[in-house]
Amino acid sequence: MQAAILQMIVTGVLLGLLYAFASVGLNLIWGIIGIINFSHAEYLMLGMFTAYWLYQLLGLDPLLSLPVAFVMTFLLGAVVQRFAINRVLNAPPLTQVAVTFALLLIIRYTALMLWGPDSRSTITWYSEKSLSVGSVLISYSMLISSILAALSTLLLFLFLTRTDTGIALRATAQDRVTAQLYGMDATKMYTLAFAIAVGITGLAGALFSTIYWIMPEVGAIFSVLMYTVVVLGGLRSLLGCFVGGIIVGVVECLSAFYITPSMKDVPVFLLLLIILVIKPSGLFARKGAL
Amino acid sequence: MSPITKKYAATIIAVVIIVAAIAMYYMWPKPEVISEVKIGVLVPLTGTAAEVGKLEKMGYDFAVDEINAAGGVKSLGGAKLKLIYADHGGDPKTGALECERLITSENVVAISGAYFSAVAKTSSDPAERYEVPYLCPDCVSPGLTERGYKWFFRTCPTDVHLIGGCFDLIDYINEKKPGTIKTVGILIEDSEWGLSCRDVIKEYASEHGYEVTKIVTFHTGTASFDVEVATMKEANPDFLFTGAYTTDNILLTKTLKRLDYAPKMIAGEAGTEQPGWWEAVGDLSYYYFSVMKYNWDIMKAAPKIKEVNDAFEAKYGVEISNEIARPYVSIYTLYTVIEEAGKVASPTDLKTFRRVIRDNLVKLDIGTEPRWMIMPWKGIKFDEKGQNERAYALMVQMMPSDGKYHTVWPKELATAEPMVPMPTWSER
Amino acid sequence: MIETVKTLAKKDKRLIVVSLVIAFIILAIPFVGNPFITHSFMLAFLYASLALSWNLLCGYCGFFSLGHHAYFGIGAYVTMILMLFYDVNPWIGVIISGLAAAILAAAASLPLFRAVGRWFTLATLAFAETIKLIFINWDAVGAARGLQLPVKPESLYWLTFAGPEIYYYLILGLLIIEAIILYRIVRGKIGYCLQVIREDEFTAMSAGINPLRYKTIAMIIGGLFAGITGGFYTTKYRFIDPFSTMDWILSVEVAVCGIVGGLFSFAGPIVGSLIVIPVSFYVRSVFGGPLGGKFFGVHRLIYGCILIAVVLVMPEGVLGWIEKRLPMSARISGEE
Repeated sequence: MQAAILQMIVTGVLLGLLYAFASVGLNLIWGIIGIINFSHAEYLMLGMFTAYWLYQLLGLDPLLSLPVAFVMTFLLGAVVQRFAINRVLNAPPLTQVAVTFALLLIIRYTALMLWGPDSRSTITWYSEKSLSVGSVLISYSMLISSILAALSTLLLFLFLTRTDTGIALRATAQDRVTAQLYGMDATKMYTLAFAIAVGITGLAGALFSTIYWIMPEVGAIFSVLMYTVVVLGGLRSLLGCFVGGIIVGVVECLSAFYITPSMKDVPVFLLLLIILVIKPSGLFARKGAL
Repeated sequence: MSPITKKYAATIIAVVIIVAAIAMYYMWPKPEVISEVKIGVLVPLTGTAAEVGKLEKMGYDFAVDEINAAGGVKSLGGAKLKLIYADHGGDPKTGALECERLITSENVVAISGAYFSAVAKTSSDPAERYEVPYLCPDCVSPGLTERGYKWFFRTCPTDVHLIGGCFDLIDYINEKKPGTIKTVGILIEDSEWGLSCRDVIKEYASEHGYEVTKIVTFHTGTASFDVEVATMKEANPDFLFTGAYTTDNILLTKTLKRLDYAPKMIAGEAGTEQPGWWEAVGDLSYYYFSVMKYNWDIMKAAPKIKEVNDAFEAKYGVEISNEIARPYVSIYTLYTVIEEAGKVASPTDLKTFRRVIRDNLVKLDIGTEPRWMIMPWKGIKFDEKGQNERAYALMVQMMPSDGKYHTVWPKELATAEPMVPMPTWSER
Repeated sequence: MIETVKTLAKKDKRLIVVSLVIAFIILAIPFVGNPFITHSFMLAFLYASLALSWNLLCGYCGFFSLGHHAYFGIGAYVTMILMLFYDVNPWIGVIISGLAAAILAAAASLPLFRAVGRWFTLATLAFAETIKLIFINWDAVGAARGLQLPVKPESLYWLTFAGPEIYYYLILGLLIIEAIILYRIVRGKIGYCLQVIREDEFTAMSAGINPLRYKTIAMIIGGLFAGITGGFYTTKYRFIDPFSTMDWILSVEVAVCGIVGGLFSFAGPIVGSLIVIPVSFYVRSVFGGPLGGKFFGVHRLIYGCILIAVVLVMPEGVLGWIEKRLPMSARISGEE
C-alpha cells in the first residue's frame, strides 16, 4: 500500500510538471495579452505533429526536434496574432472567445484533413523504459521531458528578466499606456508575446510526443486541464504555473487512487472552484510581476 | 405612386416571390427516378474513432463497387446501389440527427451503422419511428437488441458471444494447465458499450467459476492511465480484461509497459482489434489476446475468403480486417433483401419498400455458401429480437513469432495454441 | 432594436410589412420545408432560447458565464427522470425542470459571484464540469450511458412525435413567451439595475442597488428558462447523457450565437442563433458526408472559417453592425 501511494505521488508530480509546462504558454497569453485563448491546446497538437514528421521523415529523435517545433509554432503564432488576435484586442472578451474558438476549429480540422485521423506515435530508445528508485518506477520519457521542461522554463525566465526584450514585454503587460509612452510598440510586443507563448506550447507538444499518442483531436483532451492549471497557479507567475500543475497532477492521482479513477477530476474541479472563490487570481498571482 | 413607394412595393414583391419560389421548389413533385437505391450509412469520420470510420468506409465502398459492377439491383432494372454517408463523430445526438436527415431528406431505403453502441442506440430511434430498417454490423452492446425494436437488426456477434468465447478459452487454458487463471480484473471505459460489457463479464465470470477481484472504469480521452494501471497492478488479477477504443488502448498499453505490469493473461476488445493499435505500439502488443470478429487466418479455412481479400488488397493496398469485413457483409445482406424486395415493390413507394425490406430481413436465411460471407459465422438468420443467431466470435492472440494475430479459439478454426502466461516485460 | 423598429415603423409602413412577411415565413417553414430544414430551425430556436436566457447575465449584466448549460442539462435530466421513472408527463415535467434549475442557480450564485471578471467565467466552467462529472458517475441516472425513453405512440400528452414539426412550434412558442417575459424584465427595474451593475458596481452600490441581489436574480431567471428549454429538449431527442447535455462546448456554442448576433441588443442572441445553427447544419450536410469521406472534418473547418470571418468583420455582432449603418435618427443609442 505504501509503495502504491508513493508511486501515485511521484507519478502525480511528474505528470503535473508536464501539464504545467503545457500550460505556461496559456499563462503568458492570458497574463500579458489578457485574452482567453480557446485554441491553445491545438498548438500543443501542432508541436506533436512537427516532432512526429521530423521523426518519420528524417529519423530525428523528438527531443532533437524541440527547437524546430518551437520555431514552427512560433511563426504560426506570430501570423495568427497579427491577423486575427490583434483585430479583436479591443473587442469585448466574448468576441475574443468566438475568434479563438473559430481558430481552434480551423487548426484542428485542417490538421485532420491533411494528416488523417490515425493516431501515431514515435518509438525511441527510451520509450517505455523505466528507472527504478526503490519501489517506485519513473518512466524515462517522463523524466527527460520534465527535466527539459524545467530547463526551458528557466530559459524563459531568464529571457523575461535579463534581456531587454523580455523586460519590455513585461512592462507592456503591466501598463500598456506607460510602456508606449516610453517608446515601446505595443502591437509588436503582443505579437512577440503570443508567438513565444504558443512556441513554448509547441515545444511542450514535441516533448509530449514521446509519451502520448499523436492525433489531430488530441487538443480536446488537454484544454480543460490547461485552464485548470493556469487558474490554480495564478497568472503571470511561472512558479505558480508549475505549482498549479503539480497540484493538479497529484490531486488527480491521489483521488483516483482513493476514490475511483473515473472520478479523478472531481476533486480537481472542486479545488479550482474553492480557489476561484477564495483567491480568484490564483495561488501565486502577483499584480503585474512575472 | 411616388418613386419611394414604388421602391418599397418592389422590395415586398421581391420577397414574396422568393418565398413562393422556395415553397414551390420543395412542394414540386420529384420525378420518379429509380436508377439508384440509396442506403444511409452512419460512420465516425471525425472524432476519436475516425480511423475506424476510414476502414469501414473502405469495406462499404468495396462491397457496393462489386455489386454495381455485377449489374446492380437486377430486380429493379439494374439500379445502382448508392451509399449516403453521414458522419456522427462519435456523438449520439449528431447520430440521431444525421439518421433523421438520411431518412427524411435523402430518402434512403435502409440504414447501416454506427460502430459506437451509444450512437446506434440513439440513431435507431428515428429509424424505429419512421419505420426504416436499421442494420447494425458493428456494435456489440447486447442491450441494443433487447429494446423490443422491430426495425433494428444486428448481423455481428454481441458481447454475449464475445465474452462467452473468451471464457470458453480460459476454461480450455485451465484444462491444459489447471489453476492458471483464477481471478479476473476488468479495466473498462464507462460508455454504453463499456458498462454493459462489464456486466456481461461479471455474469460469465461467476458462471464459469472465476472471481472478479477488481473493476476499474475510466473515461475515454483521459490524459493518463497511470493511476488505473497502478490500481490494477496492486490488485494483481490473473486475467485482465481491458475494454478501450483504439486511442485509449494505445496509451493504456504503453502505461502497462511503463509501470512494468504484465498480468498472466490479458485480453482486450475494440481497441485491440484495430491495426491502428498494434501498429502504434509495435511489439508491446505481443501475447495480447483479443476478441475478434474476423481474422486474416480465416482465409485458410475457406479459399473464397482469400479471393475476396486479394481483390480488396489489390484495390486498397491493405488486408481485410475486422472493420472492413463487417460492413462488407452488411451491405451484401441488405443487397440480398433489396433484390428480393425489388420483385414486389419499388423505392418510389418508400414506405412499402422499406416494409418489404424489413419483412425480408425477418425471413432471411443464409448459410456459409455465398461468396461474400467472409465472416467466420454459420450464416445469417435473425431471431425475434433482430439478432443474428448464427454469428459468433473468435479469440486471437498476437504471436511474437510474426507479430500477427493468430486464431486460438474456437478449436475448429484455431491455427495456434494460446501462450499463457505472458512473460514479464523484462523477459522479452 | 425593437425600439428602432417601432420608431421606424411609425415613420413608414415598410417595416411592418417586412416583419409580417418574416413572421409568415417562420410559421410556414414546417409546411414547405423538408423535415431536416424544420429540424435545424427548431434547433436554432432552442439555441435562441438558451442564448436569450444566457444573455440576461452576460450582455445586460456583464458577467460572461460558460456554465449556463448546466441548468439546461439539469432541466433535461429532471424531465427525463420524471418521465422515465415516475410517469410524469412532460408538460408538468418541464415546469419542475425549470424550478430545479432555478434552485441550482440560486445555490450556485453564492459561491460563483465571489469571483469577478474572467475568473467568474472559469468558475462557471468548473462548476458546470463538476456537475457533468457527478452525472457521469451517478449510476442511478444512467451514469455515462445516459437515459433513453422507450418508443411510445404519438401523443400530445406525452409529447412524442416522429417528426420535428410539432416540436418546431413548441419551441417557437417557448421562445416567444420567454422573449416577452424577458423583455418586460429587461425594460423594468431589474434590467435597469443590471445594466448599472455592468457599467460600474461601485456606482451601483452607492445608488442603493445591491449587486449580489440582482446578479443572483439574473442567474436564477436565466437558469429557470434554461431548465425549461432542457426539458423540451428531452421530449424531442428522447436520449440524454452527460456529454450531449452538460458539456462545455454547449455553452461555447450558445455564446457564439450570442456573439454573432450582437450581445448588446435584446434580439441579438435570437438573430445570432438563427444564423449560426442553420449555417452549421447546412455546412455539415453538404460537406460532411460526401466530401467528409475524402477529407475528414472538412465541414468543421468550413464552419470555423465562416465563423472567424463573420466575427472579424462584425465584432459587435450582426445587429450591432446593422445599427451602425442605420441613419442616426433611427438609432436608439446605448443599451437596449
